[in-house]
Amino acid sequence: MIITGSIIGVTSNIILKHPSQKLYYILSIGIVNLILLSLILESLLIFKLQFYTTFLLLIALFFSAFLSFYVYNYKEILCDVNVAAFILTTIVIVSLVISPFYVPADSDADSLPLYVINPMPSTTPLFQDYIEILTNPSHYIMERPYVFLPSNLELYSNLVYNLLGKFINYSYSIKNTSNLIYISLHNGNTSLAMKYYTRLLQELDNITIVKNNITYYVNILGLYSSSTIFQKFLFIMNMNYTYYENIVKNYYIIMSFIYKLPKSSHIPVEVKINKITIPFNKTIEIIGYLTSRYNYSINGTVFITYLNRSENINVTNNMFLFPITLTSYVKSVSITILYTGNNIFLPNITKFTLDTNVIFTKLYVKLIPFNPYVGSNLTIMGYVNGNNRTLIVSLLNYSKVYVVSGNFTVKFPIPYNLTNTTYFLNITVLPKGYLSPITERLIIIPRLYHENLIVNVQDRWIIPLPLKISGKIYYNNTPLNNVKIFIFIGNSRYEVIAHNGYFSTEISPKITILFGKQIIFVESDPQYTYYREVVEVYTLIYNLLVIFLFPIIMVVIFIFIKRRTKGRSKQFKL
Amino acid sequence: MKSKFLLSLSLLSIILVLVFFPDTYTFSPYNTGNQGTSYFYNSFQNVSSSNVTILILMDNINNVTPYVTYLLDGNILIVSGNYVNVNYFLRLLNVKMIIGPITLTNNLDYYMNDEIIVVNESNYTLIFPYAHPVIGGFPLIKVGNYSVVSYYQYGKGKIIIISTPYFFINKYYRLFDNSAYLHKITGTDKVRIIIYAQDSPLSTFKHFLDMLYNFIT
Repeated sequence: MIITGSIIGVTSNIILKHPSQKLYYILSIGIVNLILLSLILESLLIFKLQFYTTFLLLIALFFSAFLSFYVYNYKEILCDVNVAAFILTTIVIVSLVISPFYVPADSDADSLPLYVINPMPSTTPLFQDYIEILTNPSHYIMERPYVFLPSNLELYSNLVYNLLGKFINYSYSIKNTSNLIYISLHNGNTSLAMKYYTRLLQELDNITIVKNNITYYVNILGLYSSSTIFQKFLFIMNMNYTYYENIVKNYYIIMSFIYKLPKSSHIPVEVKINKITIPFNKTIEIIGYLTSRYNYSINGTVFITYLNRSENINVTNNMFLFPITLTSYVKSVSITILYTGNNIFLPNITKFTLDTNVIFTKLYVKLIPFNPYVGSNLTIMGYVNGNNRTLIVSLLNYSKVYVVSGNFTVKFPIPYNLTNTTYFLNITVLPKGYLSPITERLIIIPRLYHENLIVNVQDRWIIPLPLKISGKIYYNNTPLNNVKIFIFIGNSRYEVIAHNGYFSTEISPKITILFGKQIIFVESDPQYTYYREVVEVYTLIYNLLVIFLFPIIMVVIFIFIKRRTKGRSKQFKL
Repeated sequence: MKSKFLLSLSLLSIILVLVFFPDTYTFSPYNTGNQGTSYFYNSFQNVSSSNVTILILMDNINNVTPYVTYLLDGNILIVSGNYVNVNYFLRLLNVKMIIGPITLTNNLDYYMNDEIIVVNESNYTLIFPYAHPVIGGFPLIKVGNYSVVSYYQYGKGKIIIISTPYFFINKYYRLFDNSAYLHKITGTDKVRIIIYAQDSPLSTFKHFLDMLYNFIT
């Protein structure tokens, strides 16, 4: 294009003899150049588009025609060796100096993928290691990962490691101190228990500070890791912290009773209960006894904690009685009994574990197939213990109830309004007497049907004529009705609805494009049942308006200049 | 006289452009950017005949006869490159080794992310970015159960496979002890370096100037 332009420029300079002709020529070429430049700038700045190759080729043609016209005029100066060498040297030196700006060392069409030379830091493995340490504290002593991260991240990762060490130490000491309190209360040594309790509160303070610091630093590291593992770490750390916080809370309740104890008490007591199996959903009474070395009758109160309940019960003549109703499905019930002591007897704390008659329901299920078609039946095969159990299968807001026992096979119809994503199928067995309820959550990925989309488009799009796009949409020779069809051409979107399997539309012409291949995307949007299909077609654009553009510009310029020269000649006459 | 001087000045400036114009081709020894291999080239003396040859394959070689004779003479050939090209080369040599198509990861020792493995091997810290496992041969450096550097006895000669070509690029070559380790296994500073990668006229010209300079000095 540059060579053609140069030839045009030079030959036109030779052919055109009259200076006014030369003036018209250069002015028209100059204006075309300006129009092209403004089109490129507009497309770049206003429409944020990459400029078209056609534009670039045209500007190369016209600009070189423009330049060569002048070069031919001043050819004598350029033929001078000194001037030519000076221009050449200047161009070379300037291009050399500015070369780092237009040839950056690391950007090249054939360069390595960006991630090879600019790797993204990842802290995901670090969090895996932190989780490992929290779930199994003995790992902390083992070798640490040998990880190189950006220096700021490395600093935080080291801080978190040190803080995790402290967290583990404080958790050990909380366990240790709480055991010491238990032993000293069991032995009736109240003053020592109080001393340990003060230490326990300090340790809780320390572990809280450490936990808050860890949370602060891991939030910075978490930005560079996968969110699931980061959330998992936070969850495990908070779970650990809550566990130790609960230990201290329990001792807080116990110690609040013992504060009031007079100093005269000195005889230790022992707590016993009758060990029975607790039935489900029935109230039974448990009888407890207090014994001591002396045959004194023991009175006072016991503080009983079981199944998230706490009760104060009076002790009369060494005996106390409390009702218990099991309403949750558990294998065993833990009961903590604290005798709060009086002016003769020392306090005592004892833990008991009683079995229950609850049987956990066993449920094994299998889905055949795991990816059923929408509208088809899903076979659920499985086993459940107990007779005549109520089974509820639910998917989104649709559910079905079955009564099953032992090995069972049921059929569940898959609804139509699903898409091709993952759904959870909840299979619940309701409780029955002492048999517990159970819920299984299984994944299904429904399959949709593939419909056929055929698009017809003209090979050539001659602007200013509109473009006709038509097509067919059907499944297994059955035409689909009322399906939305979207047509994407560049940045524009057109919408048409297929009736009885056929659709057709006319696209208004685009005047800004001169010539080129136009890719058209046609997308079907069936609601449910069928997949969304995308078809790519293309057409060649020929903009006939360009042919008219030049003569119009030429005529305008010609009229403009003719008027001016007329005016001048009139002035001269006068 | 003046015009002759100006003409020679302009010619000189054109040559200057070719010499100082940055070479941006990947694995080019004249590319001083992150993707080049200039550090690797400068750490060795590239000689025309040596008993150690380092071969980086980013393209297929079809004529392997010179390499077969070179190996049968009892020389060492260190091979690295794109795993597809290396596997093709090994198949032509009839070597019972292969580079696996998976990228190795290491959760414990890594640089920036777990695909850039760091290995501690007898006082050397080595970095293997996006390494593949080498299957077959005798492992020299292992990451977990996988080998990243292995050797194979070929007649009297020896083939050493380094499973990633990024071992040699400027970004990683001097980051840890890759250079020192390579000097240890080659045992010499004078090696023959052959890189089969995309060639540009610019790097060919620079290579020609280099040869000219070596010839004069």
